[in-house]
Amino acid sequence: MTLDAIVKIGGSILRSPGDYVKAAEAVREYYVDRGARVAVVVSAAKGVTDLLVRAVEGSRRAALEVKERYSAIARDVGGPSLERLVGELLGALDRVRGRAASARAAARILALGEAASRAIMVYALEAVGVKAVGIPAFRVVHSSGHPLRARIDYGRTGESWLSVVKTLTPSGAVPVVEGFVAGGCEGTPAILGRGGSDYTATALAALSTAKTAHLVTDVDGIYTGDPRRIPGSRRVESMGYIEALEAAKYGAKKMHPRTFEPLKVVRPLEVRIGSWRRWTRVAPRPEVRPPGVKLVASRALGSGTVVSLVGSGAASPMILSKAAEALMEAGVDYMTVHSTPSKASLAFTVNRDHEARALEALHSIIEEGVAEGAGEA
Amino acid sequence: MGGPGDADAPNERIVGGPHSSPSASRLPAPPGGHGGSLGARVAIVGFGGVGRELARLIALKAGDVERLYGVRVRVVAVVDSRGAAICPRGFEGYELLKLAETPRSSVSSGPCGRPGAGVEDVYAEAKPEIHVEATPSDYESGEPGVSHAFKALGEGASFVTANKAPLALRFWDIIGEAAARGLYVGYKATVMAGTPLISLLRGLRGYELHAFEGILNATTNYILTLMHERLLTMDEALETAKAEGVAEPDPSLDLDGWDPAAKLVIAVNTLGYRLTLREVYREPLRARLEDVISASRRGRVLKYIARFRPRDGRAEVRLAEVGGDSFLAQAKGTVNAVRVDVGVNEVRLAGRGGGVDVTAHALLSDILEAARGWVPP
Ligand SMILES: NC(=O)c1ccc[n+]([C@@H]2O[C@H](COP(=O)([O-])OP(=O)(O)OC[C@H]3O[C@@H](n4cnc5c(N)ncnc54)[C@H](OP(=O)(O)O)[C@@H]3O)[C@@H](O)[C@H]2O)c1
Repeated sequence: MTLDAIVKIGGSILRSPGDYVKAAEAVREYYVDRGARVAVVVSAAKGVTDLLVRAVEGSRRAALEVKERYSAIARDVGGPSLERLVGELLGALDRVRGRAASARAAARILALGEAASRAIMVYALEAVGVKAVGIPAFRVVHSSGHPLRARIDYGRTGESWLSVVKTLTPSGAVPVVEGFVAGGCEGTPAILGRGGSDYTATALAALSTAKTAHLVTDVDGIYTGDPRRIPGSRRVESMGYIEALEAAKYGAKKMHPRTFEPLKVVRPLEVRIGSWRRWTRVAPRPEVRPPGVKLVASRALGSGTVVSLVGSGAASPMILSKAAEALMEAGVDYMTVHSTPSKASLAFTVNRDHEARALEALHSIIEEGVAEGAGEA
Repeated sequence: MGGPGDADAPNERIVGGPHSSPSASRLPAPPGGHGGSLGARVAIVGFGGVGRELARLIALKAGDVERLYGVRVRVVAVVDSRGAAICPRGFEGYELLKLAETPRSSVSSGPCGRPGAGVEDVYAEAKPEIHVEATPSDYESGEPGVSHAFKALGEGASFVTANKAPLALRFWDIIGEAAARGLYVGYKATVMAGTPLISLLRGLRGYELHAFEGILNATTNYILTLMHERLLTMDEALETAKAEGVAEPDPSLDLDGWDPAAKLVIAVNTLGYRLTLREVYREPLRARLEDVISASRRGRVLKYIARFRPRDGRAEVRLAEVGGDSFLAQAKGTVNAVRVDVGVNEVRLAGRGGGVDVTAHALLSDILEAARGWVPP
């Protein structure tokens, strides 16, 4: 009755039929073959949720495109029987005519992308020799609140999830649950909001015996800066939950704001954010390592840009003076300086034209050596 | 299953099974048991929304059910319109979950699948003791439910049904056949999707019935609620209900009143009357927004009500106005509500009136009653 890890497979690595099989192989190689008991949380294939958002707004074309994309993937991964199953799961898309009539109706459509992905992932796992079974999310992940921004009800979800794990233990089968989706009021589906699959994964991890939740995406982890813009950016080895949340808030990584909530409310555990082989480890508390600044990030705000330093020590007077000095040297004027109550970030509002320079200047004060070492499979 | 006091019933006693800890059971030990569990061999006939949900529920809850109620529920067969899966030893939880994710009409592609097999094969090979009927309700022929009911009883199996048609058309024939054989007929799931009206009515036998009235259909109540609360026309409300998955793509059985009429017949016959479906006066639901608005102005609410008055034998299903503060007016959305006036008392019950999840729970509850040798109705 134990589970070692929850592996969440993000949409960024699910673009083609081959990607489903590759992801399934990775689950086998990095977890199952090493004797780990895992459960898989799966997102919709890349781009599908955007199409479904358009379908909710009334685009029949977008609805059909989702069907076509998934049909093609299903045919390739599991042949005609999977194609039929996926076609049935997506049946409601045939009836899209105009804008969704209500939030509940919208939730029902938005939930379809993950449901189809779950069915495909089960077949992919079985195709690579991993026994697997799909568990519809709205039967295990219970929620309350608005159908498009639901919150997980940890008590009820914990009970249902425990019975899933217990039921599947004798067979050794891997449960596959779709992320992002939950059971709402009266058995209708609700969704958890953008990025909700991470939230599903951390909740199911915290509500079981899992030691880790591995959120697998197409990058190797959270970086000290955007590698496309800041040469010398490196992967951050480890961060605390608060630092990771601040990083998300300031745009370093797209993350659901409640991703770490279950780990605070239910039970702390390690979260790995990255690829199959490399990741940033997010633990309850950061390892204190002066000067305690992990990364830089930026986000548009009105006509300007907020550039920020994130790390448990980011709001210290020393960092503030170093940052101000670096910005000055780079010729960047800033309008405001801001820190959050958690003190894990220091944010400057700058003119948009100065964004690149500001980021580089701030990045230069991140101490060497934050990214080496752990966080590898 | 055994009838009342039938100590020699062919119930298997399983002592000390893997999950059994009968000491924790909330119920007294089963008759003739020695602290062991009663075995219940179940066939699920009809494997659509309801049948699958029941399979999932049994897979996930069998352990808890055995611990609490001393009954070890084992599914030995599931059947759809094209074939069956038959497993005389009883499906494992994992296998049931796999069956629940086969495409429609393809249960025979799952574990122990048997293309083309049907109810006859199931009885010949797996000897179920409890037959669960979850095939579509057909109020013209009653088939396949009626034949299945007699087949089950003829084979000595208790008959538990979500399909309303057999009891709406042949209530006393089926009850009589079961009584003659000391078998149980469970049909909680047929009315109010399992909100236990039937159990309540059994408890009212011997009272003098003055009036029975209620909202017995979730779809039409949802439509009327939308009309009142959002001032939608009936067509708009119906479209919304369909988009939300509350109404079936073809809701004619609900809108034409067949569904609530069938439920009225089943409920009233449970109290000993011999009402037939043909005797119920049925007005299809055609609600106009102006009438809704006019009723609202007068502090009243339009509801689609099923009524029976023994005094003149009048049974009807029609749109009616009720006071805005009345009990029936409080039943909103998919909630159903019933008021039973028995002269010395007035008893009321409200609860969800639709949804495969609640329906499956009601079926499981009937399975437990059948297994424990409940007194036949
Ligand atoms: N949905 C609810 O909330 C609810 C609530 C209370 C009661 N009910 C009642 O429960 C019953 C089942 O509802 P549902 O929603 O599950 O319906 P459904 O999804 O249409 O499923 C019906 C199932 O019956 C199978 N079937 C049809 N003819 C058959 C035959 N001759 N032999 C064996 N199987 C046969 C179908 O097979 P294929 O898969 O091959 O088509 C399908 O698996 C209905 O009578 C309904 O009125 C439903």
